[in-house]
Amino acid sequence: MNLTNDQRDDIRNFLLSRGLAFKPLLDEMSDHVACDLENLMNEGMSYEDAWKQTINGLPENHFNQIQKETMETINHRFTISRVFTYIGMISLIIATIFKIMHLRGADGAVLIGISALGLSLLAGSVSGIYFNRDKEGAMRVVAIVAGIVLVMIAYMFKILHLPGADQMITLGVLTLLVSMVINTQYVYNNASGRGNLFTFLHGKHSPGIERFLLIMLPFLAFISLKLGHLIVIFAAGLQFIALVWSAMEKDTSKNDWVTLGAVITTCVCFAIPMFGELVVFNLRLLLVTVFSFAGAFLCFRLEPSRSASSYLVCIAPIMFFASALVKLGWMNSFADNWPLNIIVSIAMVAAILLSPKTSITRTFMILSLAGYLLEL
Amino acid sequence: MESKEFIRGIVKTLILKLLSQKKHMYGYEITQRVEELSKGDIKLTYGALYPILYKLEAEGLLTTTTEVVDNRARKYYALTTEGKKLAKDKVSELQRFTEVVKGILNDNGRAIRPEGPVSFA
Repeated sequence: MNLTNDQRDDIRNFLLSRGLAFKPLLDEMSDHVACDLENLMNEGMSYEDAWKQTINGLPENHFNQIQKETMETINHRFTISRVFTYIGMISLIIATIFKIMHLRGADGAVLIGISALGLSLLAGSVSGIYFNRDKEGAMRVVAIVAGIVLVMIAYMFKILHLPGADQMITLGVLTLLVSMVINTQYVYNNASGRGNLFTFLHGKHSPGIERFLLIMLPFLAFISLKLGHLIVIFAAGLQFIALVWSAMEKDTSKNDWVTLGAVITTCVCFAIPMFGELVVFNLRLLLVTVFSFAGAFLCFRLEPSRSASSYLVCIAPIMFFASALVKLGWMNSFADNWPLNIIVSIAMVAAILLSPKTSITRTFMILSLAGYLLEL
Repeated sequence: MESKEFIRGIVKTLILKLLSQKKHMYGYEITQRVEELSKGDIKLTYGALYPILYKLEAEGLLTTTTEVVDNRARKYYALTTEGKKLAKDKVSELQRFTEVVKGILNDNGRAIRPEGPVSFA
């Protein structure tokens, strides 16, 4: 006897409520608990009785403790990567404080921050490829990471007004776009996720990336540091696409051409605006708006269960659409309409808080909130 | 069998042994197999199994693949070349250890020597 989708959602939500947020372990524990329940149900027990027998005897912190022990065993592998991440985060926070206090050196701190984050990504990827050399997909990881790092270097060139920045941006964005589309196609064709090293490695790093985004987000609310917003948007956009790939691998029933089309659309609409002034403004505006619609659609379609946050995601496309109309001069600006802005901000923060940890919805709303704050 | 301490000390070896006999196994399958082979005496809890599986994977002794089964992701573990070698060593070490302990417990006054020096530290 197989569990229904609702029963599977019950298990997942139960584990999440017990603090199990590390996605690879959450998926694995969900499968294990489901097997235990199915086994008892095959012996003639009802779902409710099987649940009681399997779960009720376990201590309250059982799953949280397993997660803690598991994280302790695997975290030491990513020490170098973590050190660079902390350096990057501290540098960006220092840059923010410098900016608020109008001190010199904010740009330098931002450059150190970006460099450290790039190095963190490289260290994590290299160690990940090395420790998982039996898995397939190292080249796709290299391609995506190369694209990300090239874009970061290109924007550093731009900040420092170095020659060749535009060429670097073109190379970086094209590399990133092509690698993302190839990986999307791979995930679509290999729905089981077998051997997809990128989503495997990302699963290990996604809680850390989310923590970084959540720490950075409040700073963006109080300062006008365009680069800070762009860093959060860039990181959240990449995290969003990677989480979408994982979701496609985990739920084959939703891995169809509609999802494929929406994911490729989000990849294109996310990457092309990074060309900056190399692409005409109205096209960038259109792509950002389309991204918000396709992103909200993917949140709604791919999340395993519906909650209030699933419906709050519709704020993002409405807001980006309205913002595009303002920029085209077809609507009055709402930048000074503080009651409206406060309500929208609260709704977006609520969506972030209500959505499950490291979920597509939470990441999409972090990205949207950073974009919204940039617009204000 | 009640003593969790005994089980905790040998879980790693049991997992390696079971994986050395099959192409790959998933978490639930490992617990079932242990229970079956021990005739219900050893029941691996979630907490006893998963941190060790992740540790072995982190040490490069296991490799994993994920497959979608019954519409849910299932992670399979298999031994790497290094893992196969360690499985062999650990199983033989545990067998020798069991022999030594058996000898001590069955001691009737005669000195018992295993085939070679044994270190279990």
